[in-house]
Amino acid sequence: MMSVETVGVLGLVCLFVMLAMRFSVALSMIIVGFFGTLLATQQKMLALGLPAERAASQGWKTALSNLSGETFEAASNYNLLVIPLFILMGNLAGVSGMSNGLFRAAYAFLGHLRGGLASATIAGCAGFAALSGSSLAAAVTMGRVALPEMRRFRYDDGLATGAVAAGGTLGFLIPPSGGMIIYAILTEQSIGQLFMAGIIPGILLSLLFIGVISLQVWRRPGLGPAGARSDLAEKRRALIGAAPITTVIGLTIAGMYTGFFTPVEASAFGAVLTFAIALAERKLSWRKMRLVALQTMSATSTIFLILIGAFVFIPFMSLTEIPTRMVEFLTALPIGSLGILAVVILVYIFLGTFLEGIAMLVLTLPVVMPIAAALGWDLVWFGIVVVIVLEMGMISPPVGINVFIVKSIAPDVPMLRIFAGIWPFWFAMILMLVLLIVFPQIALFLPQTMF
Amino acid sequence: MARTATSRPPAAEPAPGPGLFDRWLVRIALATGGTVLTAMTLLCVVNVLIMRKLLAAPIVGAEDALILLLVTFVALSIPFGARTGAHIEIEVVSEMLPRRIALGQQLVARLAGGAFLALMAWQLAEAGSQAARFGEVTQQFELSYEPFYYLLALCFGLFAAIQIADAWRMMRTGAAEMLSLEEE
Repeated sequence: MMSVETVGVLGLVCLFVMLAMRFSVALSMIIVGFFGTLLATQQKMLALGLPAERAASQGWKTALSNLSGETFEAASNYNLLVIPLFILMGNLAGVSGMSNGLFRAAYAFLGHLRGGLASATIAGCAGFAALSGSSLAAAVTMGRVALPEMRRFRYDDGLATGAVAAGGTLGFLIPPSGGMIIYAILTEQSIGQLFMAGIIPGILLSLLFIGVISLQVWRRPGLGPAGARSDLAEKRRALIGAAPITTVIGLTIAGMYTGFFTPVEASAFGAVLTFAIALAERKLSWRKMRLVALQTMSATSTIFLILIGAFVFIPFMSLTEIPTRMVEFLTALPIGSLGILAVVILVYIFLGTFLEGIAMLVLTLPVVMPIAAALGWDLVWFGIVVVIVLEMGMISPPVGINVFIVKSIAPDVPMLRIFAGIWPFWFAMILMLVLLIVFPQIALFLPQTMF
Repeated sequence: MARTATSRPPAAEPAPGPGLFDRWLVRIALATGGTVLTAMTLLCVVNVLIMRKLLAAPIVGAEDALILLLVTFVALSIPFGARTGAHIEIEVVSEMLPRRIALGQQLVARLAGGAFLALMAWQLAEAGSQAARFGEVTQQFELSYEPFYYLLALCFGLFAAIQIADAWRMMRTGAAEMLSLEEE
């Protein structure tokens, strides 16, 4: 007879072997969760003194019922309506080129400064992030607009590509964020509160990125030459051009903050408003609408299948008592709560070098969440910390997904050059983490004051 | 959007146009998924803005309808995502292996994945057949979830078939091309 802890460790080993064999992350979690539940239940029944045959039968029954029950539970969760609807809003904004307006407005005000185009890219990414929950979409959309401009003005390749890759990660932090929705569902936190918690850190991180750019061009002015100064009329035109996107962002976020909308209602309202604006501006064609529908289905399938995986896997982890043992082990270490947080962050940074962000989130939360809860960390605040560390993974070598996106837009820039340009932004994220740990209210102020 | 089921985008390569199966899959996805997505969005907005905020008369059963539309949309999306390579895989290890071994690994992953998904489809159908007995119904109108279990079962069955078809393509050509949305 095996202990349930041994079953848990074996399950984790199988999970990593399957991931290495290129099973999809979701399927790996579903399969390991299913067979793990079967074995762990069987062992528990044996320990209770049930005969082997009845224990095995009980194991099968529990595992099969868990498989269908959790799958249906994930697919029919009302709160998860935000996923397809926010994806729809982001895709509509992406194909209609609505985000360009924000970049042009930022450029009109910052373009004449050294490094101004890179700073405008960050502002554009932050704006797009407020419409789309995907860092990938933010990097692709802004990269296609901003990179050619920066290269035209002879920006250093490292600074230009670094700004796009790092700016893209804001899509994960600034609401609506796919990562935050998944975190909220798996930790049973309010999606609305997490969205609100991401706003101030998102703005601060954008400012830190702009600070990093200014510091670099101050030390080496050749990295980001100044562009032409825009006159008042150009600035006014640029502001009018950015008005639609800022209206959508303002109304959806203010709607959630004031309690006028729930996140689900805000996502539907945002999607309809984005559609109406894009249609009024004649930026939607039948072909683009087809593309939006198909992109929304594809991205929805990514997130829901991985959620189904997590829903099947988490009960298995609970059965094995591994999270409880982890909590006991970590709390026994003479490093205090802050030391444990540092260990958790370091593990995330390490995993981020080779795991995709959402995959890492669902794979680690079943173990990390009980630790956070046992140590009394605010789970909304911890969610923001986790999201920022995941963002760091998106630009960390060797598998920083945003770096590959930038590389696909600027294929002639060597990978090493892109990674060299990213490091200053990576350290800005570390600084953001330190600020969040020292001043948790940066994340908690808005959720605590929202209606 | 995502072109392959990988954690990083692949190198650019010329891709042939979608085959007959993919063309039909796209048509069906657009007709069904597009309709459900539109209905879901409009129902939510109309219910909150017009019926609840303006007329103070929310649509009875709107939440039931939204949940059922969501299950339908998720079910339809999952097999479609399997063809667009939307399901995340970790490539780091397989990229370090010789090509033949990496291909063998992927074949095992597709075949085992397909077999397990078939089991999952069967279990969802089983659960559907017992949904009425266990009182699995919506909250307001008490509509049975039974047909929606069957829909999920059907779509997971299709997902299983796509995995097996991918394995077949890999055996024949050494790779399973994914459906590119940009070409659509």
